[in-house]
Amino acid sequence: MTLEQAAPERMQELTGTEDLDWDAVYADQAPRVYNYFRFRLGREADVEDLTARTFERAWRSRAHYRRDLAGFSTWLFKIAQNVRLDFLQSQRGHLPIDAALEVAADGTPEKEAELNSDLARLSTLTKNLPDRERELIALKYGAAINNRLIAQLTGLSESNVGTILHRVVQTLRSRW
Amino acid sequence: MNDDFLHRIRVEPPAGFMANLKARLDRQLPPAAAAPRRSLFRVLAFGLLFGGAVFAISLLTVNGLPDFARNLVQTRHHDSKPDAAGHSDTAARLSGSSDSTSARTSQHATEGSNDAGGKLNRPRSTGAPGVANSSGTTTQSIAGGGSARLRPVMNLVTPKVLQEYMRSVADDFGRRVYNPRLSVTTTETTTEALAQFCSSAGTGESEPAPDFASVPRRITRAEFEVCTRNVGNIAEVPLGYQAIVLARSKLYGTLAMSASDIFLALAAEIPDPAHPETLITNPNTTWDNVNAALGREPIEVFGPPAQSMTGIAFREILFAAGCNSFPTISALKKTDGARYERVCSTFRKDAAYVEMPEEPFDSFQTLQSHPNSIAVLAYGMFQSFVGFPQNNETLTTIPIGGVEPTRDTISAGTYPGSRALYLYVNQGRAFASASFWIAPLVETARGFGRRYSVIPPGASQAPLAIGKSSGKLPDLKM
Repeated sequence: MTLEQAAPERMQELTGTEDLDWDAVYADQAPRVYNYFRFRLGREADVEDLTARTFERAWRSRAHYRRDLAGFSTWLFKIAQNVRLDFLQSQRGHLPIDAALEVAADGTPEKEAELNSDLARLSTLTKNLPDRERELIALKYGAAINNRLIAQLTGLSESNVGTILHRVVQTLRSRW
Repeated sequence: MNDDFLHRIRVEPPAGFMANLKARLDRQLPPAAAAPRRSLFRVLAFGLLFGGAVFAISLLTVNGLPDFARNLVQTRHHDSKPDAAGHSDTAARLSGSSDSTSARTSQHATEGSNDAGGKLNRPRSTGAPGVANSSGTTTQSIAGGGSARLRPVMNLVTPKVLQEYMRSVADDFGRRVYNPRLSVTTTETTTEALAQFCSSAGTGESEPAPDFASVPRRITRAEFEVCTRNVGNIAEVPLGYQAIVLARSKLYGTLAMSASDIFLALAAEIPDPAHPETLITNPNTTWDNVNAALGREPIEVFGPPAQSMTGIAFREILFAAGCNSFPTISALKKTDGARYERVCSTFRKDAAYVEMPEEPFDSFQTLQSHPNSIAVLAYGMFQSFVGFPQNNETLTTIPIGGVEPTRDTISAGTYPGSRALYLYVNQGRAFASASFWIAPLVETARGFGRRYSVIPPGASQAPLAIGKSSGKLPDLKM
């Protein structure tokens, strides 16, 4: 559930004034962006770096954010998408770092191992999917944003987003 | 849709990462307000108003004042009372800049004579100094020479990197020595500053040839020869040293780096390792990408703002040295100077290099909260850190090329992150040969050095053998 969904009137109020509660925005959006990158990269390495770059870029130019053009989540995830593309360009010719080397900081070792294993499995299963479908999975389950926002970010219709996601999830579940 | 297996993959980001990132975001400057959008109507109205004003002024210029306005001006002119010298105020205002300059100069000279018993090094060798003559310039006796015409302003030229420092020196010099004042001209580079200093013609009527040059390197032999040919003898006074240190928390230990490592880590473009003749966008993300001998730690460097004195010094001393260590890039200097300048002066724009205000407390906090990171600091600022015992125990410096930054290595010139600052004096200029002006100038510059992290020269390196009232600096020989 996004901040807009959780408290639409609050988000309206926040994004409509200069007195935006950036602490609240950060607390809500940072885990989404973080998980978006985990799902997109399929590993833990570089996730923190890309999350930090996204927020630093957004914070630097937040005065230029215009509510009449896009919701805040849409704007922020556009930045995240651009950061990922920049990163991919800079990584051309470099082998990805082994995902299994990285261990998240929280939770029990068993839990972490399981999570990493799930992430690694997802990465393997989605490796051959078209980029658009991997992006939809990352936005839906990593960033946990709704189909309407995903449609705005990807340029697809909302129903098309739902249809594609349904088909991809069925496929993934059958191979899980 | 049974998609729990996908929801399960989500995790909460590490708390430490969240806190650190938030702290970094909070340190960013508050965003500047976006420029308000102007409506078409307002733009048109403003355009019409401005256009109308321009049209009216043009019409007045071409046709002259209307009769009623001309009468009004004439009436006021008759009303104004002439002063003791027989000039009206209006006439004085219309008499042009040369007259007003003379008036100002005359006033300075008079005030100077009133202050003849001033506090600092005012020339006392012969009679009352600062007597205004009829032309408004000041005639003054100079120790060791005859009577010479002095201007009320001395000129100093300096490159941008020392601009802030020398302006402070000039302001303070102006407070200590009322007349002459010290005017500071800034150039982009040191070479340009020395070229201007060594030019006999100066840069124009309003800016004659400089009396002094304050530069962050020694004059070269070629420049010296041009200088002596154009302006005669010059003298050299060491002002101190400027040094850049890389500091880090002691938690993860120090790193041994070279200038080329620094360049490979922070430059926007670097030579492609596979094809060194081509330049690529910097792909290095960890220190071992740069140099296998360094650890596998993310490149995270906090540095001063690019246009600050320390920022320019870092770029000119360490970054440029690393840049020039690559033959591909140094070859560009001859073939494509603009590209060379860009490559050797442009830092990467991603999170690997983050600009940070030069505040000691902020820098210290950053190093504490990011123990992996490296801070680029002026040596003087680092010294102020480690002056506190708790910082001395937690911070360390990074040796460059195997040399630790210490006062001894900096003054010996062996530490690659340092350079010497010099003051060059045009001995042929009347002001310059008056050593009583140079002594307070050098004293002021050395006194202000601490504020700008300039390390004063040691006792053996300060041959300022100029008397307070007489004597002359030794001519520079190369």
